[in-house]
Amino acid sequence: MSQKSIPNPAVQSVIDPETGRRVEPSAESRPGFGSGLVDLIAFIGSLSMFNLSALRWLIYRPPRWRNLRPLFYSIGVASTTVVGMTGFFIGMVLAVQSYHSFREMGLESRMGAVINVTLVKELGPVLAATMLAGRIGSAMAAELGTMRVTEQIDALSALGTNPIQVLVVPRLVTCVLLIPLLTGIADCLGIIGGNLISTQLFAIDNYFYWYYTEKFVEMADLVAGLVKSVFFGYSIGIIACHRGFHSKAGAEGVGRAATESFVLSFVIILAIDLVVGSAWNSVYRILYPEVSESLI
Amino acid sequence: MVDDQSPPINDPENGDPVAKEYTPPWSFSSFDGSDEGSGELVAEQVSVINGRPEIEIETATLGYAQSGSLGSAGEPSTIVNEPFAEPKQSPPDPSRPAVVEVVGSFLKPYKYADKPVVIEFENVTKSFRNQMVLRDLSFEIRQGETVCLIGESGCGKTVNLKLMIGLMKPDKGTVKFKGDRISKMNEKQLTATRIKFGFLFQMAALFDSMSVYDNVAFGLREHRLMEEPLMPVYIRERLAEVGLPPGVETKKPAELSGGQRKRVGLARALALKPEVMLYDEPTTGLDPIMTDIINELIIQSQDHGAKTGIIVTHEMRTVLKCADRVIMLYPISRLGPKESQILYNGPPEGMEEDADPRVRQFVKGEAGERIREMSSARQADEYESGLVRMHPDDIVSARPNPS
Repeated sequence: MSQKSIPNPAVQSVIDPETGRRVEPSAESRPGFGSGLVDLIAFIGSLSMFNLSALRWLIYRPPRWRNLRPLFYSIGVASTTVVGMTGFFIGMVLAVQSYHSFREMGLESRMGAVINVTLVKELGPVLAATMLAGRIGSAMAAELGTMRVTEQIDALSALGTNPIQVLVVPRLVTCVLLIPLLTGIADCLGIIGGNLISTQLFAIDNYFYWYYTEKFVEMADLVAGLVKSVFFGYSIGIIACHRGFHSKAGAEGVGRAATESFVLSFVIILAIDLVVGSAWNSVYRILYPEVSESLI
Repeated sequence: MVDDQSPPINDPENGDPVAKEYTPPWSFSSFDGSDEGSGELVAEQVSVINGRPEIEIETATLGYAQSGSLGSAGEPSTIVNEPFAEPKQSPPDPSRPAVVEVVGSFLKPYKYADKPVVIEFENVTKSFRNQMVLRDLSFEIRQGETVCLIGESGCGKTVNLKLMIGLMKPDKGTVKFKGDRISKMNEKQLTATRIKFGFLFQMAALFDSMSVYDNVAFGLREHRLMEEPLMPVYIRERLAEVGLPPGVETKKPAELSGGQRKRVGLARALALKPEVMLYDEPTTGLDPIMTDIINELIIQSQDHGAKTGIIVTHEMRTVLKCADRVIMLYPISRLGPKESQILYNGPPEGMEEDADPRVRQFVKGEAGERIREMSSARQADEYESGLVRMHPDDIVSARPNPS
C-alpha cells in the first residue's frame, strides 16, 4: 500500500461555483495567528453590538411580567438551594482555613471579622457568581443554542418579533435583579456557616465573634459585594445569551456554546472583580478618607 | 393573431383537443394573450394549411411563457414575437398569407397572470463563506399562486424563503415584497412586513417552553391583536381547522407527534392571517397518510384566505397536489458558468416531459447520472491524494495473529 500524501484536514479545499472545480484556499485564508486575532476582534464587535441591541430594546420596550415570571422561577427560585449551599460551605471552609493561623497569633476571637469581610466583599459574590455562571449561564446558552438550532429564534423573527427583545432582555433583567439577591443569600448562609464552625467546632466565644464582625464589617463592604454582583449578573446574562444566539448547529455546537458561556463568564467575573473592586476602593477612600486611614 | 379573448380551443363538450386556425400576423408575446404575464400552451403539432402546404412543423409540445419568453419548453422559444411556423424550406410569400393550424393544442390563460407580483427576486446572489448557494436568481411570485420550490438538497431552497422575510440578506441583487426592498427596510418596516407572512418551519420550530395554546397565542399577544378573553375560542378554532382534537392546547410540544407539531406550527402561522404562507418542507419525515393530510391542509389554508403560498419540498406528491407552478433550482456547484440556476419554471404537469433530463430525473427520482458522477469523482480524489482504496477484507487479513 502506497501513500503519496495525506491531505491536511485543516486546509479544506472548496468548490469554485463558477467552474465547479476544487480550489485550494490561499495562504491568507488559512488559519493562523492573524485569523485568530481577526476572530477575537470580530467576537468583541459582535458582543458589543449584541449588548447595545439588548440595551436599546430594554429601554425601547421593557419586558412584560408574563415573560419575566417563569425566568424568575428558573433563574432565581431554582438556584436558591445551590447558591445557599455554596455560601454555607464557603463560610465553613474559611473558618476552617483561618482558625489555625489566627490561633497562632492569638487572634482567634477576631475570626468573625475576617470571615465575614471576606465573605460579603469578595468570596461570596465571586463564588456565587461562578456557581450561577455554571448553573444559569450554561443553561441559558444551551437553551438559546437549542432554540437557534431548531429554528425557534428564526420563528420568533418570522412572527414579527425581535428575538433579542423577547429572549435576551428578560433574561438580562432577571440576572441583574436576582443575582445580587442570590449573592445576598450566599452571604447570609456563609456567615452562618462560618459562625457554626467557629463557635461550635473551635469554641470561639459567640459574643466576640459578632462583636468583631460588627466592628470591622461595614455597610460599604456589603454594598461593594452587591454592586459587584450586579455587574456579574449582567455579564453572565449577556455572555450566555450571546453564545446561545451564535451557537453552531448540532449537539456539539450547543455544548460548545454552553462551555464557552461558562468559561468566558468566569474570566469576565474575575476581571470585573478586579476592576470594580479597585474602583470601589478608590471611591471609598475619596469619600471617607478618615475611615480608610484608621483601618490602615 | 391570437385573439386575447379567445377561449381555450379544447372541445367545449368533451375537452378533447381540436384544431384552430390562426392567420398572420401571429404574436405569442405571452400565452395568456397579455404582453406581460404567463400562461400555458400545449401544442402537439403545428401545420401550415394554407399558403405553404409543404411545410409541416412538429413543435415542442409544452410551453410555459413568462414575461414574453417561452420558458423551458425548448425549441419553440424562437416563436416569441415571430410567426409560430417560420418557414425554413422556402421563403414566405407575402402575397399569400399563410394560415397555421395548431392541432391538438389549447391556449389556457394562466389564472394568476393578471395578478400583482407579491414577491420578486432580481439577480439574487447569496454565499455562505466560500460556498455560493444562489447565483443571479430571478423570479417572481404573483398574488394567490402556490409555487413549489424544488431541487436537490443544498441548492438554496430554504435560503430563498429566509430571504423573503428578511431573515437573511442577499449578497447581491434585490428581494422585493410588493415592490419594497426587504433588505432596505428598517426594524419597524420589517416587523410590519413579517406579520404578513406565515412560516411553517421544517421541524415546526414550536417554542419548547410554551404549551400549544401559548404557541398559537404568541403572535396575537406580542402584537396585541386580540384581547386575552377572546383568545381561547379563536385558538381552539385555529387548532380545529388543522384537525387537532380538543385538549391538545395544554400539551407541550415535546408531547406531540411529528404530524401534530407540523399542524400546530401551521395553526400558529395561520393565526395571524398572513397574506403569504411559506412552507419549508412541510411533509418531510411524515408517513404517507399524514403527508396527504398536510397537503390537504395546505390547499385548504390557501383556499380560505386566497393566500399566496411558497412551498419548499422534495415530495413530488405535494408538488402535484398543491402547486400551480413549480420552480426547480439546481446546485451551483454542478452548473455551468453561464447556466441559469432555474432549470424549470412551469406547471407541475409538464415536468416529466421537460426537455432537460435533470428535471425529468428529479421528478422520477432517478440518480443514474449522479451515481456515475460520484463514482468518477471518488476515483479522481483517490488518484489525486495518492490513497489506495482498501477493502474491509484487507483489514481483516492484516490483523496480527493472536497466537
